[in-house]
Amino acid sequence: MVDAFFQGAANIVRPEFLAVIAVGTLIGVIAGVLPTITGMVAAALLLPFVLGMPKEIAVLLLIGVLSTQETGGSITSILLNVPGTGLNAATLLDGFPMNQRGEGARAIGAALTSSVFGGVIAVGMALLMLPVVIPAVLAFHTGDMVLLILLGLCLLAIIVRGSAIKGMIAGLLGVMVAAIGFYVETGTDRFTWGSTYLYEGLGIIPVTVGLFGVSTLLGLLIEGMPTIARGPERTSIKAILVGAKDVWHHRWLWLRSTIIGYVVGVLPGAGGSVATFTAYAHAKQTSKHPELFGTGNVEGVIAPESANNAKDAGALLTTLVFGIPGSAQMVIIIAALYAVGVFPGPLMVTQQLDLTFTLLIGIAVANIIAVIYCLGAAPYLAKLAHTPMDFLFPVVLVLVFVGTFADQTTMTGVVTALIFGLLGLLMIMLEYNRAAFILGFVLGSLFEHNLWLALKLQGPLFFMSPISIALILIIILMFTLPLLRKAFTRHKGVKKV
Amino acid sequence: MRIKPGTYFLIFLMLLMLYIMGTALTWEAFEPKRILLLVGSAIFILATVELVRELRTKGRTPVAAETRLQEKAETKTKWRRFGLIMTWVLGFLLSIYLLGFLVSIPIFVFSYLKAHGRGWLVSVAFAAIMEAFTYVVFVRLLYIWLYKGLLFSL
Repeated sequence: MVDAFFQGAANIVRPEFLAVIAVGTLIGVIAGVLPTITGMVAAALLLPFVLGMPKEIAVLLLIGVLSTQETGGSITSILLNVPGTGLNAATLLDGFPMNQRGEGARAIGAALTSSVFGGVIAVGMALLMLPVVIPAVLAFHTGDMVLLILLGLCLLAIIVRGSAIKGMIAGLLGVMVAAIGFYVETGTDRFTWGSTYLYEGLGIIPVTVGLFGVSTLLGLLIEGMPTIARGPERTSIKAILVGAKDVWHHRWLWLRSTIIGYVVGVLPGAGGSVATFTAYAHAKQTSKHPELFGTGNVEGVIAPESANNAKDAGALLTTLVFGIPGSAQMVIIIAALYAVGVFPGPLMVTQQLDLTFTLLIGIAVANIIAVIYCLGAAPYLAKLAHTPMDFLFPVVLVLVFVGTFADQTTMTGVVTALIFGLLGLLMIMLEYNRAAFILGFVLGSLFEHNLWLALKLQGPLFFMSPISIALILIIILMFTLPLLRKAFTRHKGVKKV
Repeated sequence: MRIKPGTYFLIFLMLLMLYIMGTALTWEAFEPKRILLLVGSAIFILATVELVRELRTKGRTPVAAETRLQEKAETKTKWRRFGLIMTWVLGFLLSIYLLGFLVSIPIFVFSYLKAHGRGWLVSVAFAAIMEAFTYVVFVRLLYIWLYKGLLFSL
């Protein structure tokens, strides 16, 4: 194993491999920055071109694209409140308010720093976990997945600000909306009204872009805001470094979020959104100032950004070892591996271990290169917050319309984004939490599908496994911990008196 | 008892949930209606609780007539701005439907900037940049087919 590690590491420093990672990373970052054009779209388009390449180069190019899209996406989330990718939805909750205060550069600095270190450390965890990954993942059954997703849904109660009831309503509405479409398991049409677009269910891209991007844009214009930022311009390198220092100040939060992202990434089908929102909710629960979340708290940027980069290493490990995509992005990697004659599975940790190490280390290198690109562009991009709305509005609207059209090449996607934009505006006015809606939307269909599988495979007592019981205890703890903390603080106060 | 806009939204939600659950109950299989009945009833109960809370909340503290007038004027301004923005958005959408993306984008960008007091040079340049960006990135690099518009498809 040590020999294979050194062979893998030696491969990475070859000029042609480094060049390929650099190119892939640039494409991934740009794809992430452009709203709705995600790394997955870019990688899928590159797939035909990589067929003729040597296997390491082909896969490293795609890894460069897919593992850095969230780094680029964090920039759009922070600056424009439009998630560059669906995985950056949690970042904008605090990233955009920071930008509005004139601290966009600081938020970007925090996002980039936590992304790069999260991605690199997660690769280290993946390398260490190689000997035990097979039994660890096999221990997780479908029933355990149901509880894990339920844990994710319970985060609704933690991430909402203001009225908890309104937050729950928003989240459950998201679950409801996710149910629209053709229910594959029994062949039932659910509120499609004969529309082929609705048959496949509403896409995450038009819903997220509409709910956050379009609604915020409309909201700013209705308020008559001349620019996005309400505070003075602070876009220097110094401001970015302040954000980087923030990560050091909150290093334990960053580490815990990285672990959360990595663990969720390892679990097949758990989804990156579970990682980012779990990390965000954990940050809020463990923060000394939870009331500041949603108003521009840098912890709310550090947590999801470290988690969303960390999940890639875990997802790649599962993909290589089991041949099962650890995340949606890994579907492209599997396709590429098969296309170049590499068959993921247990042989990847026996006969092709050096290739496995090359690919995992490639993620770490890609993350480092992505941050270099973004740091160079960040001070200029942060100035977007002070660009007059007259210029921003047409630019963002064009990107939203073209991007949502490109998602499924249909105008219905554009109309969907607009409808959800109006819904998002209504939610802002009536103080319903949009993040809760998105969380419910993303996890709802996942929860339903896994519940159906668990009931079929394991019966009604699917939650009786040790892992499921542990997850149930975590959920109970999640709700009781704040109450216990309150009671403890009160008791301490009484004692002092 | 004061009826706020949020109250109407809650009533609408409750009616919507009743419709969804009623429709789901007509399906034969249980699995497709399981989550709808579960979540629908949860939303209905939560909306009822919130509705009762809102209806029992006292109206806000009395304010001076001047402040109320100011608030009314601000609301009117916001509605006017909303109407204007939606006119632009829907106008852009309609022009895309009729003329396609590549024709509508420069027209929209130019006319929006001109209407908001920007000079000819800036408006034309910006429109050209947006058009070039869209064409190069989406059409040439990403090979995404952009809708040509009803009139150009005839």
